[in-house]
Amino acid sequence: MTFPQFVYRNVVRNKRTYAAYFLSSAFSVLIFFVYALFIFHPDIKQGVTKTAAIQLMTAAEVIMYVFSFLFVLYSVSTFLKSRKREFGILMMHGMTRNQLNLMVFLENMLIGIGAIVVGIGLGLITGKLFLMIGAKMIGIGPLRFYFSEKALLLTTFAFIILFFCISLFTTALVRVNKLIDLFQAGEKPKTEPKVSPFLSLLSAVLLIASYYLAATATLQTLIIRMLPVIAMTIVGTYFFYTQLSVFITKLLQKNRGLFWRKTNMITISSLRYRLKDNARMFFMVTIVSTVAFCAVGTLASMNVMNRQVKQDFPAEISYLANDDQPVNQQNLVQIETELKERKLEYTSHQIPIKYIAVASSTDRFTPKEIPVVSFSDYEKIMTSAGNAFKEKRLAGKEVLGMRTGSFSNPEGVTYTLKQDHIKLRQNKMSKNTVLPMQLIFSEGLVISDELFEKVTPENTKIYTGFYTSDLKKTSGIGENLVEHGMKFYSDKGPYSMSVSGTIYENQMSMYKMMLFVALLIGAVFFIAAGSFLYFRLYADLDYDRRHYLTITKVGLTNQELNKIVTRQLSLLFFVPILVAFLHSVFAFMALQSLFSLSIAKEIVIVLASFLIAQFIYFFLIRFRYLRNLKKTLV
Amino acid sequence: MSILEVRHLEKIYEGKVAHKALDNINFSIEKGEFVGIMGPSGSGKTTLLNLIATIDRPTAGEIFINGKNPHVLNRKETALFRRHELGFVFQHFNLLDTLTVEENIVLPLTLDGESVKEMDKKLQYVTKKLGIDSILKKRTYEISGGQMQRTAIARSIIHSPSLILADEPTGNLDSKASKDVMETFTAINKEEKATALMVTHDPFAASYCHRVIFIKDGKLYNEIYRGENRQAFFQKIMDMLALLGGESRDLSAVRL
Repeated sequence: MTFPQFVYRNVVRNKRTYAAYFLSSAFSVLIFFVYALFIFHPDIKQGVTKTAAIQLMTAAEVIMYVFSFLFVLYSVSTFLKSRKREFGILMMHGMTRNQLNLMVFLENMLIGIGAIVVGIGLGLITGKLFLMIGAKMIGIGPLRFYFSEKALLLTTFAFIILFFCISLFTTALVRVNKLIDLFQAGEKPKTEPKVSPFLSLLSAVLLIASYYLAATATLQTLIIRMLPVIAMTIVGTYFFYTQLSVFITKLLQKNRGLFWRKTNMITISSLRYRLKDNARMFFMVTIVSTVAFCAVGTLASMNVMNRQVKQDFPAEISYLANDDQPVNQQNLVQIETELKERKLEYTSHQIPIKYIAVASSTDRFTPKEIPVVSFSDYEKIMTSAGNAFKEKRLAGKEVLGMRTGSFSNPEGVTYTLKQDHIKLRQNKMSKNTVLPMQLIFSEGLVISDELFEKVTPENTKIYTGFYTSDLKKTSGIGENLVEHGMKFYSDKGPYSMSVSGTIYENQMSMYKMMLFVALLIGAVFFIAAGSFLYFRLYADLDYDRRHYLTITKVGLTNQELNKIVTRQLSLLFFVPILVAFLHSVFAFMALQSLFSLSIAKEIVIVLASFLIAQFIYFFLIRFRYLRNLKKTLV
Repeated sequence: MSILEVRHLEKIYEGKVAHKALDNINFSIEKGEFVGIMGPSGSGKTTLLNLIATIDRPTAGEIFINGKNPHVLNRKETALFRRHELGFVFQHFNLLDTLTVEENIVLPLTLDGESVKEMDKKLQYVTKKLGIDSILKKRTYEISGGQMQRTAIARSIIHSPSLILADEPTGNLDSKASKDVMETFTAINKEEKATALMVTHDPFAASYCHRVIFIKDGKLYNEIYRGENRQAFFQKIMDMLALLGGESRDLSAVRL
């Protein structure tokens, strides 16, 4: 046996320990490679959403790379910690420091290169599949499988550098101060976990406070609260595992009625040590899973944003003519012909928007003129859009603020008009969007019909709305008039216009693409979290064997053993996931403040699928673990 | 010529209350000798062995192995010193379970970069001698405790070290396996002229030595020589242990 053979066998015969780490490394390589295939695909490099797609995937590559770096670093350093005794034996037999470094380095490179080969190999096999799904999601025709050398080289070199750097790093991590410490590592009986009541309390306070802040966040407070809440949650979670949880089990242990009942004693006492031992791992799994849940959940909830198109743009096609130039007439005729060509049934109507001069206002800055719409016209817009209209009719000088999007808010502004110094106090917004913000670019008012008759405008613009029952079919109408479904308001342009179908389609393909990217990244994170759990479990297997051997000698039936193991494993698997769920739920409650529609359905679907995946993983591992355990317990 | 020479050895464990684990220990071991060290729990046996094994550093005094003092060497030289001059046998065997029996045995040679042919030759010779040549391809979890310890012994002698150090080699074995292991030790000691130092609790194991050194409270207490009759030597050891008044479990291993 030569030295390289020795290193090789050390890794290959330890495959059980390295399996999860190896597979999730390979999976990271696979996803990285798939993204690279997209980025370097020759058919994908045109069009606007496609440029966005490339940018998005490049960003995803960077995230993947940084995450892989951290993941590999953490995994390798935990592996090294569990091998102290082995290193002790080797050093006893005269392994020099350099040889030890070389061994660790070669082992890491071996696993790393293996992961790269397997990852890219899988990428070549499944590449076509990913390209198909991806193309469908981005909304382009099916992509042929294109073997890109650049993607291959990028992936290979990126990961070789990654593993190389980490291998160099970790050799510095093996600190051998005294051989005697290495040698006795793991043999010392575990000391009673210590907890500080203060830190336990701090953890509870931090978590409750950040949950409260997240749950009560509104649109305005969200941005300010976001970072402190994230920081508080992270610190709180860390102390939750290292302090609070141990503190709680300690309290449980004091309750003899509970603690001394049946197998509870074994479960709770080893749980205490396990929690403390695994605190850091639990913490990592929780945070990584939370990030995965939030990423996928946020993207999934953007589905709602698309439903919101209908809310933000009441008319499928809105056209606002700024003046009466003939070009506007032509445009409207063009739109109508296009609608007819498509055999779309539609209704349309025109309403006048009066711009009236303002003398002063209580607002910080007074607009020169303000657009107003009559209440009847507002009603007409709403009923044509198919909304049930129930708002109370305005009378006299009553006004409503004109809603121009989901996020408009009442400000309680009083406007004094130049004409007769009429004072209009706005302290309520219309329930629905009257005119899209993008079209008028200003505050506005809905006023009573009689007042609308009375006011003399500085100028009047004509708004035309076209309504159809199928939003999607309007996609592409008036392509020469709008850019990506939208012609923004401008002083000089004769008109502004929006086409909901095109906007919807653009948003949808953007959204689908982001979801595609987020799902893959979420999957990588989730699998990495699973790999942490797996490694932890197998690192402790020898200890557990001895532990259960002792217990079975005292007399423990097979069923009881199954029960204890299942309970402990499920704690290991589901405690971090449930905490991550809780974190995510509060994060989504904060996210909800961004949307006017409920995102509950999307979130439930996302969290449920993660839970199902975790259950499958749990049963798989439990089966293998029990089989392994029972091999030694006869 | 003495293989091991221990002069004025002292070890103090620093702490809230400093504890003198070893106090002015002097003794030497000649080439080809097989020496046991006994004493009650906490008397400093293992500390002494760790100092000789270069795992731990003495507070004062000197140790010479084959004329060299390993504690003045730098890190790399210490590693090479262990590799060439010392062989180890432990209570818990300390075999690497990723390797097969034969791979475990040749490990010291592997670290030294010896040629595979040479390794094979030495392996054949050693394993025949120890009677484990039939289990070479097995993994460590497939063999018995006695076989594991003999594998460990093979590993400790394959590179012909100057001194073999054994820490409770029979501590984890039943009486039959203990007997096998001790007879193996005696055989290699006799036939290979290997020098060995063994720390043990077990008077039966100690009765295979040429000489047993007793220590108590970190000081040399006495030493007795074996003479011709192992049976009588065993009785002498038992008497000495009773005299030492160690904790009763030191006397529990009566296996006659």
